[in-house]
Amino acid sequence: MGSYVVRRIAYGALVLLGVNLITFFLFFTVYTPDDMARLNLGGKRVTPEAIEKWKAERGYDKPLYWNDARDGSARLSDTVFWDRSVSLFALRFGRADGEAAGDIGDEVAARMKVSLQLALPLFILQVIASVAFALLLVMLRGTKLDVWGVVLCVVMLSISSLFYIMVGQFFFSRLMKIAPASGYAAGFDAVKFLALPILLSLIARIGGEGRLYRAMLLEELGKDYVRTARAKGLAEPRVMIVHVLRNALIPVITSAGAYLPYVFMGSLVFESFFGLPGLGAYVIEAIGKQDFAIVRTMVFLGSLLYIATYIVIDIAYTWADPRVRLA
Amino acid sequence: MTFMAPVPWEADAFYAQPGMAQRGMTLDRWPVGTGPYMMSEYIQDRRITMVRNPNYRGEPYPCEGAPGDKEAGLLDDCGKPTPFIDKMVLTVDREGTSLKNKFRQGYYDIEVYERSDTGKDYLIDMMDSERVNAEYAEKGFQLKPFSDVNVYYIAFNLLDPTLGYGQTPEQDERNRKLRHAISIAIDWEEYSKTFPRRSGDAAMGPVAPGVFGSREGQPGFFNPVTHRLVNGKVERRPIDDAKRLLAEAGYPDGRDAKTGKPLVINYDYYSAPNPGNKPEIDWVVRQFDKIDIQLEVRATDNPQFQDKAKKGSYQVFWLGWNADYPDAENFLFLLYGPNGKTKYQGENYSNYASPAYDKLFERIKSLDDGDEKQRLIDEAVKVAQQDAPWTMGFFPHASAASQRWVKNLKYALLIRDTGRYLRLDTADRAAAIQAWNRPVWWPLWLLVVALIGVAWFAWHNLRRRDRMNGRGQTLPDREPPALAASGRG
Repeated sequence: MGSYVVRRIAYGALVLLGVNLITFFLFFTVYTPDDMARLNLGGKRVTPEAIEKWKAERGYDKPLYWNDARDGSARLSDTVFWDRSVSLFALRFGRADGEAAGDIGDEVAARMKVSLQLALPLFILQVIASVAFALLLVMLRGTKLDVWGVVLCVVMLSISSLFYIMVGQFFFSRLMKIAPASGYAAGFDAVKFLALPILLSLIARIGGEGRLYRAMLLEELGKDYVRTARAKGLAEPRVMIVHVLRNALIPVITSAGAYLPYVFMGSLVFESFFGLPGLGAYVIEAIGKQDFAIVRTMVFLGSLLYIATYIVIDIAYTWADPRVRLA
Repeated sequence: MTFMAPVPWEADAFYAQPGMAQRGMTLDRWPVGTGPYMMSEYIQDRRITMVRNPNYRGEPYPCEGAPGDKEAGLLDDCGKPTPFIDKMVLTVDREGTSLKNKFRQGYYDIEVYERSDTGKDYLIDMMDSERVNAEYAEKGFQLKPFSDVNVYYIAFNLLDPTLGYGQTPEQDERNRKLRHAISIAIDWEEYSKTFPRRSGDAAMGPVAPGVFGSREGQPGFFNPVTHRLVNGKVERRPIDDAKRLLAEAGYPDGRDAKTGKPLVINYDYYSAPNPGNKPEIDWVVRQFDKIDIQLEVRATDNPQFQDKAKKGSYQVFWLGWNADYPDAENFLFLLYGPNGKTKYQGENYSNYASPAYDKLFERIKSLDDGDEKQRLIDEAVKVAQQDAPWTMGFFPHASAASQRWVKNLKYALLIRDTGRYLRLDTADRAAAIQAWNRPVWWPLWLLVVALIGVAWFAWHNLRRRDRMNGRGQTLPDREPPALAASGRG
């Protein structure tokens, strides 16, 4: 397994190089450093000197990809692309483009805690609730409750999460007044601000996940080992939880694992709507302010987390199913 | 010029040290000063906390104000030492709906501290619904609209051969008539009614009301190019006047008299069309359509527009200006020739260059307020009206939303230190928040009962299935077999 993991990490590094190149090319094709300076300096009295000063402060005063003014390898290394790429791979993210914005690394570290506070309990509750809901539907298969449960799942997964947010805020905050509409407080007070987004996110995802897991569990139900377990006289709940669920874990791990990067990167929509100062909101704010230093960093971090997550998922397969061997 | 207060050179030298900016130690985030408040906390995009500066030199609350201030109770604290509030917490709340909800619940004393235009939303809500009107009135939100020193306008690039300066005096005159025709056609009075969130007063000149020298709103003052007096009332000229001028400019029915081709004009808008601004863009297209001019919308963003402005490759554009200081010069300089955007990288995006106007401006800018300055401003405005580099646009109304317990609040775009004058009736605030936010629990109990019902139904079904035989028949519960045993007693 060791050689497999090393190989996957090597592939991941290549993917990261590609992501870095493409995002750099796209961002700097759409907006040149001069455009970025104008965006950040505002609309009033933007002089050419102010633009040059802004670029110099942020290291954008060099050529983008190739520096003809230098000799040897410095032609490549004394460029914006080289500087930015090396610092990204060294996880030194530098300063944001905005005038009042600070160090991106500091912001990421501070905001990741908030994202984790929202996403980690949500991730655990999501897996438990979706699997429990799917198990219940499977145990009730063939009954009216199962039929209506599936209809409910389809309805729930067809509705945008924005709808849940708006209705949830209206219902719980404005009408019932039992939860704050948005905001954040550090420490234990965070619970009262996180409860509503966690509940609504859970409701928004349970339809799709429940239906998916139900299908996976039903597929397992038709297999021989289930018939054997029942023939031994085991009660239905024991058949489901001990035998069926264990064998249906691989697709559950794949589906739930794909959500892992969001645990760290935060939820763009929920953090924005609930005013949670996490990484998701950071990205949305950076896009709004067209701060490409932040957006590029977050794209890079997102890719890094996705690569790491899928390596972890592959390793988890071997735990869930001893027949799986990584080579 | 983005910072209007004097900054001592020592402070500038301190922040300019190598590594300070890279570590986020800038004047924005770590300010040092001598004002009434100190910034005790700065969490980017989340919260700024200001606490009273114990070493503040202390300044008494003013005893003089503008007409109406005394009657409004704004001078009640005359002579008392400021500031009145110990701590100010400014929360960054980007989501409009939740921001509004929290203001309506009383959790924010002032809805948006640094802006003075968001109260219009509440005024529109009140117009739209009797229920909301009653709620806001009962809660006593302060939403009074007022004029501020800013202007929005649609203008022409006078370096453009179709709309701007002509090669010959005849061509020049024809182009001026074309600008006059368009200026009449763009009905800013209609704009305010169509888009109440951006409502304002149609501008007759470039100088915003409230600034010395401005005649806006005064009886008898209007732009004779776009308006006329009918029975003593100022009204926009009829569209037939615009069509006549268009024909005199060489475009009868919107077609070039020589070639017969339709007149197509490019309109640069500073943002790509989205559901929010599309109605406004469509409205502008309709204004040109009234005189059969085809408007080609070139949606752009600020960097792209700046690039076009640098090259001079634009015709009609939308722009706005917030005054830096309350002086007519700060509006009139937007039309000063040596301030032209394309040639001199100034703020005169119209590239308007009139020797007569420039001469007047050069005298105005060094004069103190007085009769002479007023006379020169009047003359400069007349020149600008006749040359029509702008369609003159509108002066937007402002309205800021605040709670009834916030005292001494008077907004203005240029006043940025209102915090020191504010006073709060905290007892009223506490009572209001409690009264407005009593939790309603019964829907939650209803939901719990419903869930228990579903759980019971599910459990019942499971039990039934457990007792079902292969034919689908439900078998009765079997009694456990009795234990037969004997013992030696």
